[in-house]
Amino acid sequence: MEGLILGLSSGASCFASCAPFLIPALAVEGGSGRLRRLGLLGLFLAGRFLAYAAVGLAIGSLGAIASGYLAPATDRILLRSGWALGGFALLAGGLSGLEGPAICSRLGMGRGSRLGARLGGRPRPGLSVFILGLAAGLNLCPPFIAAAGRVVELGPLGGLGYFVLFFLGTSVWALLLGALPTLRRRAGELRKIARITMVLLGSYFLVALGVLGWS
Amino acid sequence: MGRTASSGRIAARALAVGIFAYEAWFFCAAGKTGDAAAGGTIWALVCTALFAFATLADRLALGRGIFFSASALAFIPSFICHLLEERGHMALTGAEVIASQVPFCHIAIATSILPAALFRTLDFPARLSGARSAFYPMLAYWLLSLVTVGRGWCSWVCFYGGIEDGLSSLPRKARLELGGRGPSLRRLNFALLAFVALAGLATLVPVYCDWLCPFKAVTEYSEPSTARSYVALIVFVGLFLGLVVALPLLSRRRTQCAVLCPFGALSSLLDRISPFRVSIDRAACVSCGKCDRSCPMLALDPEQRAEGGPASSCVKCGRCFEACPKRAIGYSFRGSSFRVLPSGGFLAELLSPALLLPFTAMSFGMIISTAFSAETMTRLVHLAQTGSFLLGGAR
Repeated sequence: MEGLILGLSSGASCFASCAPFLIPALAVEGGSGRLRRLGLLGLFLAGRFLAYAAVGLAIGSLGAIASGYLAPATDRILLRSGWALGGFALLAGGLSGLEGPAICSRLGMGRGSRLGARLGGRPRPGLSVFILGLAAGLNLCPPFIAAAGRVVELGPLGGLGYFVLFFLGTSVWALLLGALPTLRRRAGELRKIARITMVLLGSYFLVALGVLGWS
Repeated sequence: MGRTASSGRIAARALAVGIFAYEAWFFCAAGKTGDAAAGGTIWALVCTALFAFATLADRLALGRGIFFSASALAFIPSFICHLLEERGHMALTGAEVIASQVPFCHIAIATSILPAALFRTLDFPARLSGARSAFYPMLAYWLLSLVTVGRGWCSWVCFYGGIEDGLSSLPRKARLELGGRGPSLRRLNFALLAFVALAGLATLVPVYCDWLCPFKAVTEYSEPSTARSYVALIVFVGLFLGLVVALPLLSRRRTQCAVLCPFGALSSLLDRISPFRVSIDRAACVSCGKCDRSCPMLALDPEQRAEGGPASSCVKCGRCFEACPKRAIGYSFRGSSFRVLPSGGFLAELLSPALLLPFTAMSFGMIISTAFSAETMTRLVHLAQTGSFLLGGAR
């Protein structure tokens, strides 16, 4: 139950950590209908669930060895890796369908461009949102680090169970984000803005926070 | 608005100028003594003269432009002199950031409001209250401006926007044509707002202030000591020279305000709270496009004209009013198209949006600018008397 309570009680942190991934993704992909939005939210949560379950199982199995990896210096590397992965997922999601100004196309960043295709391929909203969920799940926010430190001594099944309950607790906040209303009248415009936002966020997370570590 | 004004209109505007003169004296000079009283009186007279010019002489755009740019020009020396007097330098040290001694800037509201609401934590190294430049007073000014002038803040009140506004109105002709790019630049502006808000939320760092704010070049900035801070220095100086100085001079547009400023984008989203809007009389419009070219915010284009008003990025500056050969553009109340009450006469003129908005907006600008503009006037008086611009001497 501790995992569930930790997840529930860390709502604001979870909201803040998931919002940069979920809000633009839903704005880009979810303007067409409530059912579709719910489906995409489900895929996002599935990505997060997979990440949480894997982390819980891994840290629980590694036990004392993992606690060495959670030391401040290593933690910073993990933190930067999390930002880099999240940034890459956002960048790929944004670039795969960006209808930017002409200069973007010339730089190979527009819709259907080689770079866009390589990073994101043809727009696959489900896959994009699933990967964003995975990246959000591996983002080392403060409650996540607290949970990781706790499962070191719980063993593989204990770790898995703790993180599954932690996932359930934190998902309440992701569900609230998914319930935000959409603007149907300006859905097309909103989609374009969201894609540019994903590119900006992705670049910042990947380069500044991930590669350079300028947090 | 024809130049053969009716007596009712003149009487209404003269009364508004009289009220404005009183409030200018009250906020700028009342209760002050010595150099401060002289400086405050000069600023009150400047504001009143410009308001009279804007309303009685029917030169709204020019009167507002001079007031707005003068207030921005007065802000910079006042701010820098304060830093020199209190700190001895413009650069912020780590200790000053930790002590939360940085004045809170209204632009940071766009990045700080979400973390403040969620975590009750300010991601900006400023005080919450206890000073005019603390978080809560700035938030109160902004909320008050939203319910009155809306995004008009950006052309009457903002003490940074006046730099660009002045520079963009200097050239007679644009050397760089940005017309037609309005929708894509607005999109980028909203995306930047979403970016700084979401990145700030995830990291609890004021991303805009750290990396993008060009006005650090004329106010204060983190002391450059690491590679990160040198990169930030190059970015903000580059943005200042490019978006605040060069592009406004080349394009006659307020490029920083239209593209980069997250506060402007947030105010655009919430502008519907304001009772005032700019509307186009479609029957009178001859689609000459002169208003499109005059708009510093790229808020007008054929599509917007067809809709009967500018895009949400309109800052209600009034440049398009004077550009329109048919006088088909003007202020109106939201939800109605009339600019003067149909009954006409003195009261109708007094309550018309064409007078109420300039009066409210310029009063707001004058009250906000008093703290630094009146002080700059005081410094000028001090300079004439002592030969020093600094009131207490630099540390």
